[in-house]
Amino acid sequence: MLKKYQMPLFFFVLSIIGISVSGLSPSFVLNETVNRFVRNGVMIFALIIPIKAGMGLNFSVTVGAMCAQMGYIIAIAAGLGGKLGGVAALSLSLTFAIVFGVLIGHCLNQVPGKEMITTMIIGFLANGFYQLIFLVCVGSIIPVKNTEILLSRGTGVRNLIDLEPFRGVLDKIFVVTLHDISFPMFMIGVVLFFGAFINYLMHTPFGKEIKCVGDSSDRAYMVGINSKKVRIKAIVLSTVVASLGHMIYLQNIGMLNVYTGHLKHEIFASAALMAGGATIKDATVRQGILGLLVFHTLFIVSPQAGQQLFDNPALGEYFRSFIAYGTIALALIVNLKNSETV
Amino acid sequence: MNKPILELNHVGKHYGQHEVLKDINFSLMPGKILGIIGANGSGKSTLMNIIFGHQVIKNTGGYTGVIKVDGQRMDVNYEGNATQYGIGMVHQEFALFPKLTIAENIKLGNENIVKDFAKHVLKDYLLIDHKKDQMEAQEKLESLGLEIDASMLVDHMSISVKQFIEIARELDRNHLKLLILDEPTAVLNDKDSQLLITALKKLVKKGISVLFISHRLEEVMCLCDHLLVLRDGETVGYYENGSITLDQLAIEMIGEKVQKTVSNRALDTKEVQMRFENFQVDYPGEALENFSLEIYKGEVLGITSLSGHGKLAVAKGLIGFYPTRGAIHMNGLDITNLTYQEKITKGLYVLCEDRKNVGLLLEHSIGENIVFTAQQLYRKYSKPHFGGLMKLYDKASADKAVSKYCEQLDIVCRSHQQVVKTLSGGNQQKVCLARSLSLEPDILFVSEPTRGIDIAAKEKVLQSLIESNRKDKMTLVIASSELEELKRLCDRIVVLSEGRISAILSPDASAKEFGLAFSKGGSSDGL
Repeated sequence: MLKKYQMPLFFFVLSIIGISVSGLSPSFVLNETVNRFVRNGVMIFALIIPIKAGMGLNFSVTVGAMCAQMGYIIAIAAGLGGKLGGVAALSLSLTFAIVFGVLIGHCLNQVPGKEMITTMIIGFLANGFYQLIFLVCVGSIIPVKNTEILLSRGTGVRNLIDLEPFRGVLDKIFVVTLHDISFPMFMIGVVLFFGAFINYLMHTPFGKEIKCVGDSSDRAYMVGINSKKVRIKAIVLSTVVASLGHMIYLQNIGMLNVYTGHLKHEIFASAALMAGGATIKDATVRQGILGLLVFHTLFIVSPQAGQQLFDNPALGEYFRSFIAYGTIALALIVNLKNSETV
Repeated sequence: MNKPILELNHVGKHYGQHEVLKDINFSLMPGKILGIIGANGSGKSTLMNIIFGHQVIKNTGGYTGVIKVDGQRMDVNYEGNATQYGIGMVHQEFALFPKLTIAENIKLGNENIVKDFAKHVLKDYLLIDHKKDQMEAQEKLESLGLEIDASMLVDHMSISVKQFIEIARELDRNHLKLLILDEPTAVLNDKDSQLLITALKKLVKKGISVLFISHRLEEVMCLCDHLLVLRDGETVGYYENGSITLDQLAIEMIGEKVQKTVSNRALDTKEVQMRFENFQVDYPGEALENFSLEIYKGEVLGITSLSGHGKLAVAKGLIGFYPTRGAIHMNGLDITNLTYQEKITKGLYVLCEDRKNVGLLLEHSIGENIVFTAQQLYRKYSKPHFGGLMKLYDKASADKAVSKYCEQLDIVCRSHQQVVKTLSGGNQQKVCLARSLSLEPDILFVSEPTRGIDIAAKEKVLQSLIESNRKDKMTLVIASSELEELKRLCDRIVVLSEGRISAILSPDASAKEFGLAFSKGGSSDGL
């Protein structure tokens, strides 16, 4: 029992220490945690299905994030706002996510057993293409109606795009305030809905196929499961959930950092999941939710804690990436160790 | 009902230039059992893979000829497998998922859905009715005569139960017409084999046909209606059961009378080469205690016991897989605390029974497997470069050695570059043996050298072991459950019981003496 919860407990203790050192008020921390829970929540669920399918952490959720950004940029570039713009952005990013998901799935089927490193490289590659398109092609090859988003030289999209028409549209629905802490109930519901959806999927024949493929894709093939197809479906699902997650993230932030907005999300989401006690072989929705809460609490307090301890907020920033990568490394090592003792 | 369920017309298969199956013809009527017999490498598994539509076949260029199921031609290019045609297969390596429950395994691909809503479109994405699945799985198991709770995880089940679970899964597909069993009894003990045979006979009464592949001739004779004998990819005979005797069948299968390896002689000197003192191995399920023994130079020593009574523990303990206590001396040296690598360089080698997991580099070629250890440890098959500064791999001498061993041991392969994973069990065992011979050890420990391999390969393996013992004066310690083999080969046989030495017998000892030794409560001083 203790072993099962040792990672989240460890992070919980760290956050408690962090809170007391930073001197932040509990209500501020709680507010921020809730905010980050709804902002980053959905992305984490994108990672669960590929883990169950035996492909480890899907670092190419960045591609899903890029799809979401492309959806928004195209909607803004076409001068669409409001409901129409939202629907356009959503349907565009979903289409992109499905197409790229299928492509990534096919790639991963070529490298069974080495999916994690491959998804990472695919993420880098996609980032290169993405930058090429938005820095060079837009405005020159691809015509744009709304020239406000272009750099002054006429080609390339600006660094920062204001998502004014979409800012906080979902977050503002059904907000309940208790004392000075506000709970965006609708968005909390949405995050939990995604969790429930993943959980539900695991109890369908499709979910069972995923578990079997995750166990051994050779054996799955022997019993008549088309494991390659199942793996592609898993990655498509992951990419789609990731793009939805990033759309939610962007409408919460309200600003779109065209060239950097999609980066690092895969790392933070992976780290949060691992902090919840998941491994690269098995992950559950509960671990995801738990991990979200403890990891992001630590994330919120660490810069302030750094400031208090060392008089240097930059140290806190280092601390953040140290935590993120450290968690993943730890999870990988624990994982290896466990599989050896079996 | 007089239409055959399965019909093969002129089926053949090439792997590159190598023809592994030639012109196979047979038909199988509903409710009949056809036994397919053949030595390792005779094409049994290839034939099964063709019928079952395994991806290996398609990836290597498909097959020739026609296969008809229920009069309907099976599509050669069908991507998935034959389950759609009502063919079920029980695999040699179990296709079960340890982390799922028995019921989940049985209902795999055939789940009940809670709501029938939009069943045909969204079937894969609707909630599974676990309760109903559980009930149906339980029924299927009971119909096979197995009383076991279907909600348990498969992980902890014994091998025989796993086999039944697989059969139950294939039965669960409503339209099952043909069940293929690939060496089902290879991993079962006699009692469980009998259970399986009874269950199969029950099945056939329901009109399901069975293809039964085995090299245990007695079982095939007792179970099957018809027998098909394969040798080197060709049909050598198709018999009605009863029209042929066991001996004739064995001869048909091997092609020539198998020469039995015999060893009868007295040891001239009794020089102690290796000594165990109170050796103890904590091998869960097969522990060894208080093992004190002297092994003489040049002898062939057999170690036997019932399974779980410690015969495999000696070798595992020497390698260091499990914690050990006590002392080991070899050639006058104390080797108790040496690593396995150091033990090898002192002239000891251990060949484990688990060749797939610890005996072979599965993804590497035959050649690499044979020369690997000798090259790594002794820099054999290497030649000096840069004026003797470095010794690097010498392909020519390695190739020569590999050819020599392949010839000596009759390793059947397409080329020496063939990946070991793709070899049959007997040939894999020969590769293991070739590697240990290439090291020229003073003393060789072999565990279950003939497990899971056919008669011809068995004799070859035993014969080479004896040859190296006689010619190269290699001391040989064989741990095996096949008492007959040990009796033929060994100078002395150590019988273990409950992890202790219960007797050291001469091979000529009577069956009664052995029987008593097997069942005796362990007393270490029964020397």
